[in-house]
Amino acid sequence: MTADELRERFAQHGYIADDDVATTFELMLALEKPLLLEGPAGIGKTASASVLAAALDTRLIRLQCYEGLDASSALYEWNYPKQLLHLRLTESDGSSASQREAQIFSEPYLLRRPLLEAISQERAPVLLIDEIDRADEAFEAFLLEVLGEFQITIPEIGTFRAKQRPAVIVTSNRTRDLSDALRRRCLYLNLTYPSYEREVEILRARLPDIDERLARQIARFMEFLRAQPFEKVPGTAESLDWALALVRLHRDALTEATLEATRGCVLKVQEDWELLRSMRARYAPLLDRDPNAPAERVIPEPDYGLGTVTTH
Amino acid sequence: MADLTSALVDFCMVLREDHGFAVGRDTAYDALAALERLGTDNRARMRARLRAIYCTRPEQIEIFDRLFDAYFDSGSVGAPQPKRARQKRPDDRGATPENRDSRFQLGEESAADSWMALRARYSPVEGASAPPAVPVEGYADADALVRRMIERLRLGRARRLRAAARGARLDLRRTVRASLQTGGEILALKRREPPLRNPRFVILIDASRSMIEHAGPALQIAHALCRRTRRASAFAFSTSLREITHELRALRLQEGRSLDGIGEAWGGGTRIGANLKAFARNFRSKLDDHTYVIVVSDGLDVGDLSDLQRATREIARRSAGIAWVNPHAAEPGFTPTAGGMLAVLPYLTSLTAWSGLTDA
Repeated sequence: MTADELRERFAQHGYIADDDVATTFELMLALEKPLLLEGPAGIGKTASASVLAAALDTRLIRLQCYEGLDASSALYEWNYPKQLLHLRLTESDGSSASQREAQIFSEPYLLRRPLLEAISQERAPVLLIDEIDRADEAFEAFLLEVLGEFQITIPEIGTFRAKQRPAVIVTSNRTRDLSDALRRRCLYLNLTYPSYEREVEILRARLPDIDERLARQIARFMEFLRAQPFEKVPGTAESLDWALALVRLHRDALTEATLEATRGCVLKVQEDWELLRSMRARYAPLLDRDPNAPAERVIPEPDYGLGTVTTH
Repeated sequence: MADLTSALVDFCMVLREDHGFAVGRDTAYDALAALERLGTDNRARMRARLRAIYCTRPEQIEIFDRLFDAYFDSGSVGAPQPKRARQKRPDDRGATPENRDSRFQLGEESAADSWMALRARYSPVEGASAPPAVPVEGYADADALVRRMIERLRLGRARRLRAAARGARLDLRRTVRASLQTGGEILALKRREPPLRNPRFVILIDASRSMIEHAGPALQIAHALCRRTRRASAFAFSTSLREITHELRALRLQEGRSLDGIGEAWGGGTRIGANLKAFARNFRSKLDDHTYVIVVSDGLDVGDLSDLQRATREIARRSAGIAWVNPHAAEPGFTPTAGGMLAVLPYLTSLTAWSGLTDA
């Protein structure tokens, strides 16, 4: 599949991919190599894998990494209750210990986890190894073996070799440095925040009902937010959430009051909100005037205890 | 195509030898396979493909793009042509900065991108000092301190489970296996438990002029740390920030040996906030909840204290803790009254002199 076809199919599924992204996916499919996608959270790394699966009309198999993930959770596990039950049921059927062992360590007792599942498919699936930086180095080293050979050996059964090599996408938010060995085995794509024009395009693709002016206002505001030293810089996921919230609330423009009411969609850390408030003079030009706001801001004047209050 | 292939091979060598890209035979093979299978008719796409093959880190992308432009014609339509045929490059091992091809010396200037950096470079007050050396005298004490710190530091338990005789969790896999020896009857329960976390260390040394006289012990500690464990990273900062882990590991302890090429990270101006901010932003992957951060600084920052406060908060949030070693803390009656120290104090696990590091 060419880069242009991929781009088109991605767009049909609401994912606006630029030419570099489409070209890298095309290369990944042509060379049958894993692709390491790095970039900040909420920028579309995971979404790109599910859209690729939809574009290729194949299955998406996802391995979500976490601290403490081990090989048995990623590869296979034995169905222990079923094994124990079988041992109990065959206590007095006269079978030898080695026969019983062979029975309980066979395929009917095997629970396939994502990596084995991906290797066993008749049609090449998309295997998403999500947030590899959350897993520890030992798991990363183990993963190298699987990605190198696309085969898994289960001592009791034998070796499973991939019938069709899965399209492997490995994502990382860079919370931990990945090993050079893993990086060398993968193609590399660094996803960054979209440009203003690209963000407008994304908003229109995902929310066809959105007002054009509102989409542009949101994209411009996100561009401003991403230039600030926030602890949690909002990604595309946040701008889509925000846009959806504003559409559902029937807002057709971004105002100070709307920002205040919906800030939870965009800024997830209280200190970031306080920092934004301190920059009001800088972001105010990006907002519309609230039609319900008073014509002039009324500031109470201190009465210095004399009992009269004037306003201007 | 033959010319393009030659240029590509030459391009690989420049990436590897001059810019430290991990370009091996497999990578070169992938690049040639990509050209063969996907064509070379679109320059932008060829660049995107080669970038995906050669780059493994975001910081390499800018270098790659600039080098690609230097190597291949910039016509936007049609097949990219190499700007030069494969030719004998200057022998890099014996090359001096003057006889190297200046087109391939990228990235050096980017370190000096700010006004502060330029001012410091040319200021007689804040200019960089001679490259530092790790003092031999007193090294044994520093090494012993590091050993004690590594032994004593406990960051709780990891999440992964390992087989253990008295673990709290049941290990069904081993239990079922063991039961086969007794005809399927479970006579002994096998157990698992999470192991202790293996801590990482990051040491950030303030090498501004006000700290130069304390730099000896700091370098000794950093050197001992980097030599004793692979799970340590060291940085020096002054006008700019620089990682010195590899230099320290390679440095054999011997009188007169110094850390060459450390540049503006040593003996320049004091920009603690800006440098910690740069660390938190550019080396975020060095931090996780297994990482213990040691900052060696007097906290006398002349920059924006809000930068310093925000960066320290960010580092504290992403790590297991921060021990701030202030050489003045050993002086009797020391109280942290410097603006920089007051700004960071709420985010520190400990504020200590060298001797208190093992109690942190």
